[in-house]
Amino acid sequence: MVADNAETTGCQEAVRTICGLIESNQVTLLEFIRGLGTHLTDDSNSIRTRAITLLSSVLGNVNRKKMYAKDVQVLVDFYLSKLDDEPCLREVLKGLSSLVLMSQFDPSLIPHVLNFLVEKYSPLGKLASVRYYGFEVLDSVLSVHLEPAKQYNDEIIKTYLHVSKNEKDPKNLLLSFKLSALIAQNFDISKFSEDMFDAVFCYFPISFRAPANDPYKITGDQLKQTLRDCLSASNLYAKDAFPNLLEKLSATSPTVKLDVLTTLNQCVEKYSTATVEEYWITLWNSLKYEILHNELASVETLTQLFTYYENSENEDERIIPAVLKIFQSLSDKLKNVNEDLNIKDYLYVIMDELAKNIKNHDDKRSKQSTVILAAICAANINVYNLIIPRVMPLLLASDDLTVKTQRQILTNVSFMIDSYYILFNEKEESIHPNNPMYEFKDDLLMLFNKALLSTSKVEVSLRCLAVRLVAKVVSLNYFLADQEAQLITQLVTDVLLEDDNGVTEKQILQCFKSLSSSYPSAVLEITVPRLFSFLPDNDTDLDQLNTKSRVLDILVSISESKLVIDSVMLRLVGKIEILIESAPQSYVRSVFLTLSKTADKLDAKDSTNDNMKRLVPRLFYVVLDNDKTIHDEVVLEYTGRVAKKIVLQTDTSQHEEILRELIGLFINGKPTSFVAKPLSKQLDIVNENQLPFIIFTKIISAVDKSVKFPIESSSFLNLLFKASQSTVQFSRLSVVQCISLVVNKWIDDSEYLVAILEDFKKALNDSSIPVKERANTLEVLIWIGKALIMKQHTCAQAYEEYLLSLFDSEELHVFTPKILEILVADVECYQQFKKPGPFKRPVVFNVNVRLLYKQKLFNTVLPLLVSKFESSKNQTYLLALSLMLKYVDKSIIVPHVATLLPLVLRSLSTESNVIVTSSLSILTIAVNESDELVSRHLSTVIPNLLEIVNTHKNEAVKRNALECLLSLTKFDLHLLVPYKQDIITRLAKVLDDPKRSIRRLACDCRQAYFELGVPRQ
Amino acid sequence: MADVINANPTVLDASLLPTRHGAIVEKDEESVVHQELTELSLDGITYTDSEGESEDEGFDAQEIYDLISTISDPEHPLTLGQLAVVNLSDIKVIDPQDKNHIGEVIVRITPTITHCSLATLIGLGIRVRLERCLPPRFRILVLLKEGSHQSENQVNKQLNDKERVSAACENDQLLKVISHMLATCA
Repeated sequence: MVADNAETTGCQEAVRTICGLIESNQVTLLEFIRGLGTHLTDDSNSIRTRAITLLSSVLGNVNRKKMYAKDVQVLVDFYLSKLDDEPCLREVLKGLSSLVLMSQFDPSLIPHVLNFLVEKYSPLGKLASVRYYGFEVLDSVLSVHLEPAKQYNDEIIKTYLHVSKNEKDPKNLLLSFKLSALIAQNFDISKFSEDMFDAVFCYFPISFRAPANDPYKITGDQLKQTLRDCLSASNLYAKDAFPNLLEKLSATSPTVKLDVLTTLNQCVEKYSTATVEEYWITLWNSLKYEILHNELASVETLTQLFTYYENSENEDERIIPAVLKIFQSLSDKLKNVNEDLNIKDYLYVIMDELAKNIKNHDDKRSKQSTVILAAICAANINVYNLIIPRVMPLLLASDDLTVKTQRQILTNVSFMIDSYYILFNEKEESIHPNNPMYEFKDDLLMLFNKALLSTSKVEVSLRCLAVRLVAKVVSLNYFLADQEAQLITQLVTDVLLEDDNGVTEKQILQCFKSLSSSYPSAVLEITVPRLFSFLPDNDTDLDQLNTKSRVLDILVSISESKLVIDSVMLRLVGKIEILIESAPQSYVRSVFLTLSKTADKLDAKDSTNDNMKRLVPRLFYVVLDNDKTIHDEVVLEYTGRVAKKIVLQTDTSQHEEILRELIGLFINGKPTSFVAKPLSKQLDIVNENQLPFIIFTKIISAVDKSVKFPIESSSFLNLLFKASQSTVQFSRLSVVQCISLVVNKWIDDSEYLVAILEDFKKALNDSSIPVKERANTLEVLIWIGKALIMKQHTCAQAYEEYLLSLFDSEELHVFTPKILEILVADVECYQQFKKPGPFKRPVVFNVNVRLLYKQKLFNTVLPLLVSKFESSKNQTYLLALSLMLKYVDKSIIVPHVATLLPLVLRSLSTESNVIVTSSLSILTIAVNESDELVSRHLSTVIPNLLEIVNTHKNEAVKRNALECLLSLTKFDLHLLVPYKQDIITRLAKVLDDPKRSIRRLACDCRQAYFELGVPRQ
Repeated sequence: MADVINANPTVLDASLLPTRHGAIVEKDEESVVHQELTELSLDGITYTDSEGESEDEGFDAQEIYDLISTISDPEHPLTLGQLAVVNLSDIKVIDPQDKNHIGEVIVRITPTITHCSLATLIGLGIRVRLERCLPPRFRILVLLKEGSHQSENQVNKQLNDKERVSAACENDQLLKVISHMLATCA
């Protein structure tokens, strides 16, 4: 019956069994205690302790409703009488704490228990684990009987003060602090406030660091935070807390200082406004110099300032945001402008004090003062309304305007603007039409004008500062009225067109990003027309600075919102209409390029339904009706890109019509609404000029694959086959890709696919046809194969096998490396685009591409290539492998590294750049992914690499080899030491390489090997 | 290091230090289009990549500046470029182009204060860096800028005395400090 050690599982099991018996009424509690009987009072310490341990454990585990009020009272008395029994004290306190938790515990017993505790129990000289249960009794009382306990206010507080005396153990302190805060918040501590405060403040500041194997996992920060919660728990502490904390501020350790400041901040936040008011000026006076006497980092926004300092590694620097936060909390007490009159006065006091520094822009403290004011304005809208009207005039008033002063003004104003941004953009406070900042709009505009129009262009930093401030002002919610936005747009446009400094230009373009998205109409009305006026109608530039190419580049970068993009595109098409007859080809092409780049800036979510109706017809007409452009592959490519982008983002319900109409237009020469006017010459891209296929294929790749193909697809394919036989250099790929796309998107008929494969085989095996013609046929076959492999069609296997079998063909095997390259190549026409599908999940709508097709193909082809190379030593296989690798993801190669490595090592000494480059890239992957494999071959790898860097001509090869050498340095030192000197010596020649980038890489590589094995400080 | 010799140096913004402009030549857009339109075609395949003949890029002051401006100062976590100890205008390169002729690199450094006892160490660091990174055909001369140091002549003599430099490089303690300075270079 005597429990041995309460912690073992056997004991816990026994306790559970007993509890089970009691709860199922098989044994009554009384019987159980009677069973323990005399053991509870046995003279032997060990027997008595064990008996009480068992009883306490059962009480701790048994259902709390199981006991009658009488039982509880009897047991409480028993336990209280045992409080002077030193050896079992821990168990006695534990049992007592369990009893308090019983639902039948009568709260009127509380003073009885507490008095006994104070009289009979003393934490002095007890073990930490015993003391813990002393706290726990009080904790039990307060957690279950908080309301009734309030009648015994003084007893509770006295007991707390008693049990918490001289506590040092971190686990106990955590509980002690928790209790202290609870008591301070729920009881009337006015009589004891000093004692209560001293009981916890004596621990401040905590410098606890948990020992390595601390079982309780208590951190110093945890303790600090709970202590902070104590100190901020009652207004009554204020009279002690503030002076004491401020005194500790003189500490030299930044950690302590930071702790003090964080605690002060929490106190200011938690204490009532009336309490804080008393200490307002004291706090301000003691803290202000922490900011005013410090040099502040040169950042431009308040948020950046906070993040810069808060992330600082240097604890000294983290003091700055901590102080600013206290100022913010102090200001945040101004909740009600009509009631908190004192706070209002205090705010005026500090404002007047800082105003002295702000009035004089050259004052050393003007920036610091502004930062403080900006921070407190950002804290609360009442403070903002109070301070802005007083501060802004000081900041903006200035008679003399040296560059230095202007820079200071701009920096300071920028911080004040941040407070607007934080309140109305970030915190989304509702804006009142009388916002005090509105009054200063004119002054701000004046300031910008001064900084940007009447300064020399050499003052780059000042001008950039001004431009960034303009951008900030533009980004403010509900700040500028349309007319003001226009004025600003006018201003930055002027600067853009006059300032030739690269840095300033970059900032202005950045500023246009906010302008274009916030005030697109201003940009449309002012900037865009101005820019277009600089585009000449012939080749001669109209302005020395604003050349054609500069204006075109600017047009692309200012096109940020749909509205601006649409207008720029339409105007560009208009320009093209004028230029197309007379201007030189290069100019026309660059305008087309600009058009395509602008179209690319459309957001993927923008609908282009309107562009399809308004822009595309004009664009198609101007391109397709002109004899020059219709034969210019570059113009057609750019046009195709624009058309593709627009079709992709047009609603898919229109795709069927688009497909039908455009097949009609390009193949059959039918008029359509997608061309503005009837073409003077009908198109027939199959039999005549095939170059417009460049546009056509892009549209085929963009339309929704679920649309029904408007004509019979196999007869359409036959037309395309016919086209492929007579095509020219620049349309060739477009034609075969068109075939590929049609097969990929619309043909699923296996019988048909098998039949055409047979036709192709026949044609390819017919040696009476010249190889050049057969190559055309082969090309079509490859692209059909690609279409099928990408969608993993059932016929894909047959195509793949046939294509691979061509390695053995005498005449066609020269093409085989290219075949493999084409099969895995990522081509633009198969780029996947998504639209929201069922359940709003994005699904690809334009092509059929299975996720793992490349991996599957690679896994079949790789063993074949390796074995064929091993048996024949024919470089074709190596070449095929190299060409494939360009398009294969690293993760696909990694599993095969072991197979490939022998091949790689042998091919490092070949002549072909393609092969060496890809071997080096596999080698680099091997070094990074499976270093053990490579480390066995270092004696081959390193000399080979050194040979390559010293003898090879090709820059890319040398670069790869050097990078590979550099990545070897991550190997264990002992592996590399034998080669270190050799590498350093042989790299010396590369230091004189004709190419600068190679020299630099050689330097870095040599440096890494020089440092190899040198102990770090 | 017990006492910092110059505790509060003037620091330049790293983004404003001299760099090589227009280093990356953008590929001509039109040739990209042409390449895209023909790259994967079976028509006239050769399997070799075009070897763009390009001119030699000689050594110039900017290249030397790039090599040494990133060395860390021994007493601040800042680079020599940021502290304006090395300046582009104080670097002189004589590159005879012909690889059989001897060339010369002269670097004049400006210590942050005139009594800086670390000037020799900084000079040594620069010297080691250049010896590691320049081909042996260059003669390296590291000097203090005129009037930038109290004991200018002594330091200059020390920095360019072969024997003393190689003796310094035998000193493990010194080598460790230098390797720490060069750690920020790559």
